[in-house]
Amino acid sequence: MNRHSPMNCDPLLVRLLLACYPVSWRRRYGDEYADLMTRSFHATGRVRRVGQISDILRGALDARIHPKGRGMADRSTPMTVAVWATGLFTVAGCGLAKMRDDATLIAAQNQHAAIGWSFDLVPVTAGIALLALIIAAFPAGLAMLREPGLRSLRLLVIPLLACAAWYAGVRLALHFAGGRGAQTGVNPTAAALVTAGAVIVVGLIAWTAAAVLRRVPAGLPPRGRSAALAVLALGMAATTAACLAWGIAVHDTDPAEYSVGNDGLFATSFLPSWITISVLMAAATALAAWASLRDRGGAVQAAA
Amino acid sequence: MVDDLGRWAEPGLLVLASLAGGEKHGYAITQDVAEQTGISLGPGTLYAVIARLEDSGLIEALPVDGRRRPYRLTSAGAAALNAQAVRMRDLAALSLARLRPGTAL
Repeated sequence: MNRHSPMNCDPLLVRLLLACYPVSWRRRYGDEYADLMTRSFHATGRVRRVGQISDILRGALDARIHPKGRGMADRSTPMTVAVWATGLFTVAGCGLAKMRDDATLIAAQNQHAAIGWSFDLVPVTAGIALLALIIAAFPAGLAMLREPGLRSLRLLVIPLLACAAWYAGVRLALHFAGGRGAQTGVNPTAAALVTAGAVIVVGLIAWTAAAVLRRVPAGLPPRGRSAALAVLALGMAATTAACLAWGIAVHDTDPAEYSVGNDGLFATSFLPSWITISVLMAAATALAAWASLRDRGGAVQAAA
Repeated sequence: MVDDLGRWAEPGLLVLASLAGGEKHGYAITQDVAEQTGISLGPGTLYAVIARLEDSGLIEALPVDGRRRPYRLTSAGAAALNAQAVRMRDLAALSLARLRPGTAL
């Protein structure tokens, strides 16, 4: 057989396409699906194969969005959803903190009490939300330390390495920036890389926490966990409300600052940055509220 | 029940019709559907449908044969296919009757 014939390319292509499907799907259908793909590719020409690949990719997307089939139950739990909500909330919170760093906004905060108190409320309510999640996850953390072979603890290497890589990236960006810093106004590429790296690090931390919570079957009693998740959602809602109040206070006290200038994220004006952050916070709050309601529903079913 | 499959209802019906002729694995289903109807089911579509039909209890998986896993129709699947076939037959009869020569626009 010709070394470059389609037959020889198939195993790699099949493996790549199969990798697009979720792990649980591959575990159930992987072998038979790989067999079908191999046979289908061998039976068709290159043109039709493009159509088949497109069909397979659409199937992979469908399997990720709508997990169906025996053993394809939703692997997410209220706790893992709460962890992802917290990750999203953290990204929005970092954006808010970054905006607040602007010298003009700090001056406005010192001049107008309404801007000051609404912003000061943010770390308080966000801290309460974070504390609630830590309390809810605490038993799993303890169980992780007692696991034989510390199997789940090893996963913590991933976010630690990611943090180290991000820090090294920031140092490199600053080094190559040659004293210009990594601000969006003067060095947009470095600023974008630093921001994207931070978002990836937060995502990896959330992924690791969710993976540990799935592996370690330990948690608060159902009532305690429900209460903690409710406090998490309420804390996020209060923080979102404080963020909205902060923006409204800026609008009422300093309209010029609100609609023009470059005091928002990535050297944009205040308004789009504030709206984006508020929307992200509201989405994270909705996710946390859903996790809380789902957990409460599960606790009621278990009690019945 | 097949209607619950939404946009997968038509390929779902094709798979049920194919399995009504006996148990088959994935590739045999695509071959059978292509031979009988001229419709080519892509691998992604076929397994999106198989997962849904299996989830709904209309088909069931049999023990693996090498790397292939055959599927067969369940009694619920046969009933769902029968209901759909009767509906389609009635619709076809109605359409053909109304399209008698001289009535077409």
